[in-house]
Amino acid sequence: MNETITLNHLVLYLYNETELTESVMVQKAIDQNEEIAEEFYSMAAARDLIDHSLMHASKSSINSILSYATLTAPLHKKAIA
Amino acid sequence: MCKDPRNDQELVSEFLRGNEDTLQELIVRHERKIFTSIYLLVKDRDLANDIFQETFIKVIKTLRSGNYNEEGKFLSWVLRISHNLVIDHFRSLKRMPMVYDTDEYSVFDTIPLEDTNIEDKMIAEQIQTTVRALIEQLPYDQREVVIMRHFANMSFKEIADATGVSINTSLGRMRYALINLRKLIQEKQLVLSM
Repeated sequence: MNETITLNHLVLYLYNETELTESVMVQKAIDQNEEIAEEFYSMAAARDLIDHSLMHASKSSINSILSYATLTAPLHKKAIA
Repeated sequence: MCKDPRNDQELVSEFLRGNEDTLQELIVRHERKIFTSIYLLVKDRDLANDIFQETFIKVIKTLRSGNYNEEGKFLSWVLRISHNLVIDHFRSLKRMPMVYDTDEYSVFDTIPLEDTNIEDKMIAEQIQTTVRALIEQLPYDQREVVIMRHFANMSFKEIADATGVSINTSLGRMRYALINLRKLIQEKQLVLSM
């Protein structure tokens, strides 16, 4: 690995949490070092997949929450009145 | 359906003024991230639904009690509540799931897809299910960082503070999570392209 770039720098850069000067440094390292580039793009591919894993709560759960909010609303309205 | 242009804080304020419909908008807006993050920790759909409900009951009570002061960070706040409830659940069982324990998983609801092509839709659904199953196989501390960074949009500094470890540890866990995911994909010879 590059002298000034650590693996943690790569993770921070991957998630857009580096300062501008660090970003330039990391990108330069990626452009110039095949090993770093491979590590970075491999992590980027895994990161992109995670966002495709979302699932839904059941409709009955959501309805129960909304019913609870509605049923308890008069008490709240009374309290703020 | 048109997206409500109001931000979370405006919806919360409306809810507190007695407009119950805004709660529905907040739930619709964030339920996938909240539910998925709970599910990935407890790995049981019914339990995840129970904790999801419990989370929002607590959200409603806290909002109405006037103790909400997380302006602009509604999702992170709700995820913290759900995460604490997950921890309470494991404490009640007197164990934390430090390692993954099963390779079985069910087929769950998947997010609505805009693809009109049925074949594309089926492939996308299969990928979603597979990726979830892979995330479930990560050790607990790595899954936790994945959830906080991807679904709660927390920075690594915030994750480090929330989990009581150094930022380098958080970054290391995320890196291992990503490496392990790639490894699992390669081991299973999965072709995952969106």
